[in-house]
Amino acid sequence: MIKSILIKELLITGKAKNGIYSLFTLILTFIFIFHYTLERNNNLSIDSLIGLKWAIIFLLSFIFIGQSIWEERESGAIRINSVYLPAWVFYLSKSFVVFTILFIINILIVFLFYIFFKSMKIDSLVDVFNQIVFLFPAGLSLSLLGVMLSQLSHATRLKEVILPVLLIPLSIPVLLFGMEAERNLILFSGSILKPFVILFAFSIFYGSLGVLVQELTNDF
Amino acid sequence: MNKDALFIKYNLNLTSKEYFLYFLFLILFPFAVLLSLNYPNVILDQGTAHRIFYFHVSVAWVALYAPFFSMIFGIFYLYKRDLSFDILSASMAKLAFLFSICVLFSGPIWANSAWGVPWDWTDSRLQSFFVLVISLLSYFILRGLIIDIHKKALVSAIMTLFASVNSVLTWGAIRWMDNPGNHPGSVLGKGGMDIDMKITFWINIGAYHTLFLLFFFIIYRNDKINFLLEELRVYEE
Amino acid sequence: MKESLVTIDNLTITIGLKTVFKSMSFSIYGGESVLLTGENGSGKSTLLKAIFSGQDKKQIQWNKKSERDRVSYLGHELGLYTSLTLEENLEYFSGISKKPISKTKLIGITEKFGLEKRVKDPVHTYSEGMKRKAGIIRALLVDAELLLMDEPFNGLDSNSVGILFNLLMEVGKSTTFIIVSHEIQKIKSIVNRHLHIQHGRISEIND
Repeated sequence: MIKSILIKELLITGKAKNGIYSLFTLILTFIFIFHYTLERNNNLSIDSLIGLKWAIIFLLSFIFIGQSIWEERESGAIRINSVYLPAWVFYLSKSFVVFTILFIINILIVFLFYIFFKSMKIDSLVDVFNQIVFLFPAGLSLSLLGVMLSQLSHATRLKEVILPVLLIPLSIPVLLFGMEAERNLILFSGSILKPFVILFAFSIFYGSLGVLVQELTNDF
Repeated sequence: MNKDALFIKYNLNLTSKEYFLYFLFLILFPFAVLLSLNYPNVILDQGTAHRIFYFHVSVAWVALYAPFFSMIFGIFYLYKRDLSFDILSASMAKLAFLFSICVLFSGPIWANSAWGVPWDWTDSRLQSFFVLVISLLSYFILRGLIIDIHKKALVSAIMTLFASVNSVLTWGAIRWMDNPGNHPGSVLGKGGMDIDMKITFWINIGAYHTLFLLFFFIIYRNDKINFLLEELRVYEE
Repeated sequence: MKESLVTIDNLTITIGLKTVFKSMSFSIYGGESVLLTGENGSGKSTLLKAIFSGQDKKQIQWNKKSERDRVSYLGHELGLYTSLTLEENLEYFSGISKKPISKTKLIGITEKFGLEKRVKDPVHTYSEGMKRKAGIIRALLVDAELLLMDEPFNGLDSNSVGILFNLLMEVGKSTTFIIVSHEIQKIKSIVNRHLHIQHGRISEIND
């Protein structure tokens, strides 16, 4: 069953080639615009780059998560899935695939930042690790939260449009905390474990809530 | 169910407790406002603007615990699937939003005299409170966009959970963060207030809580009437 | 005495403030072929969805849990992922359902509907009639105890109507089904029970 679900999710994502190319173009455009407008005479500080990186990741997640749930709803397959699959299996499998793709996008963003922004120094694998370590639990939180809220937004008239309005208040704590943790790590060699655990705790919380919401709204 | 039965089901007459609240409000509220403007000494470096503290903290307390009551009614709806609980939950959420707006306008007045700036984006209490207001706003936007009343009630109940979590984070912002910012700590802490400030503070807390209860009864009755009108309209069809 | 497959007991469904059914009670017995009729907006589709998705679990009692897992449904929506091919869709739904029919049988049904040459094409490239046929194949891939079909003949050409007719007669030997349709005269020959919904109440019609 799990194998069938994962194959289906990967096939749906793979078939959305044009969507993936569009997303890549959007990422490139965002980064280019920020580079062109902000790095005119001086290089942006590492502090600013961290903030910019997290802001772009969060904005892109709003777009991507909404689109990933679209086909489930439009096809009517969500009703069939709700009978054959336990709600938590459907929810977690969808969230896992969204998270995987979001994480790949995050790594791509780090790579593009290295190309465009001079202050982004990546001299070793440790630097790469520092750039992505907190994106892992933050991306997981966003995926779990986004899939849960897209189920809620399905009941409304504006569906994908309302999703960012719902995502923003709940994802801001993750954004602020993750950004702060990364700043402490990169600029002041701060701790990794404690902030990572706290961010992961957010994921557990959103995941648990998501399973509950999926059970309650299964007949939407 | 006939029309008479519908009117009986939703008791719209004013009860004695509501009359009592009106009376208490008329006595207590003007007294509390006049007291805060005239009685306690001001903190010299902040000036008269500091007196808004008595309004600001009182409404902030309501703004932080009203989402909890909304959540509790929401949970009751999830358990019983009775729309009366949804009406109660929505009424409480409206109050939470109203009092949050009061906090957002009174805080900068005080902050401008105390810090020299009306808003500090690096302060964790202010940031978390702003997030709470956005979550309450999302609650109303979502309610407005869902047509089916049972789905509306279900989704609203879930949203109150989120608002309550944000409320807890706002409460904890000045207690759990290492560098929370300039926002003052808890007023109930050791060595908090002088006696004149304490008396004024608690009288204001009583007055604004009476106001909160009064508003709750008014808003709830208004929401019940709207719901009843909608039921009658459907019944007529 | 026949054993009931599913019993609906005092089912009340409201949409908004409007009551669709109030205290509806009836049973579906194993081996029955049921035609469900009613005016537009009477709640036929709502009833099928309620039975399929197990809404109001207390009011919808299944004889055995295993039977609850072997329900198949074809609604107005296809229930297929249009970006995937028919083959990929069928593999997925076979993978998640508890008891799919054999691959040979499935290929046979696909061939009967004339879609065997298009199984590797994405569903969104099909015509509306072909999409409907694909939805029917998806509904039939489960070796169901109970098959629920909401106006399955809509959009089908006369040849496909005949094919579906014959398939339902075959399927009806081992599967209980409930069909919603307005084509009473056509379907009467393959059903042995006729239920009618009117003003939120269900009644038996003896034809």
